[in-house]
Amino acid sequence: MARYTFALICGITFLWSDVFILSYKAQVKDAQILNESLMASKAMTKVDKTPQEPITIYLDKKCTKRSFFRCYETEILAFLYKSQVLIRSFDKTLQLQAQTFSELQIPPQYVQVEFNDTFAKISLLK
Amino acid sequence: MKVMTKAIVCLSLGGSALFAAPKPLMNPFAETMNPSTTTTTQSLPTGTTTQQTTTTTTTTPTVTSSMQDQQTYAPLPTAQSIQQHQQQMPVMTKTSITRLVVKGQGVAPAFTQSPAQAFALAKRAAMVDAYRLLGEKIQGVKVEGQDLIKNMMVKRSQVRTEVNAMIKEATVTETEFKDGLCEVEVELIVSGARWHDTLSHSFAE
Repeated sequence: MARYTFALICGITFLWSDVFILSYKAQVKDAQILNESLMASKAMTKVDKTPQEPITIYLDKKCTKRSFFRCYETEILAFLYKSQVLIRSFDKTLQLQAQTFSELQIPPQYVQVEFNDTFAKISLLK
Repeated sequence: MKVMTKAIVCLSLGGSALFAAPKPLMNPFAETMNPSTTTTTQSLPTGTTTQQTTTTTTTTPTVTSSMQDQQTYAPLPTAQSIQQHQQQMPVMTKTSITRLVVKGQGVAPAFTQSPAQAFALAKRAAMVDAYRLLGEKIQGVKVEGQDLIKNMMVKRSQVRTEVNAMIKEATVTETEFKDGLCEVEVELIVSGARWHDTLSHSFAE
């Protein structure tokens, strides 16, 4: 009986934890956001990496699992910002008039998401 | 009558020469230099007579009591003195903890559907600006200037700057949104013990 229960729990955990590839890009021109995109895709291959310290997002909005990344974009971005950020900025000052263009990128990385009824746990895979 | 008109013309010419005289550039390293080195003080008199004006604009420097008019000249610090200063105060040691705090600013777009959207967009822009400022501090800025001078006049002046950096584990400490302007304070703590291997080139021997 214990063996079956363990197998059931493992199966449920496998079903409800997903591995995604997340990346983010934002472009800012003259202190105004020009374009931003958070890209999420399910990992197509098996990932043998260890999960890092997770964060918990409480699912208080009425969102489906499919639209999870869109609903909780702010929380996910705050989590991703801590991992690794590439920043490139080009400024041009012509006749004492400045123009700025900055691009921020979070490179693609594996993220494990464990969905539950009321919360979801996100952790980086490294 | 002619004498009066001549005097008025002389006064106006002298005044215009006084205001049109180019101001000398201040040395930004003047405070760090030894005060015993050669410093010349030049000032413009506040008098209104034409004779005094002409003497100052030619060669003769006169000293007045007003401190605002004093211009200080000092030689630039040598590479050796900068190196000595850096050796006395190393950038980082194995035990030091450096805390970098920057404040990024972002503006909401003109056309937004709601104040919440304006805040979100302004915050994104402010975050990018804050990370840029952090990148400036960590990695440095590449500056490229180009001036086109034709017939002794500046026709085109252009300065390009570039920042290219990678930042890890920066945290947002404060967010403020007021009048369409969002300010985000981002903090990065660089621990000497942790980053010694990676940043060994910037450690003191």
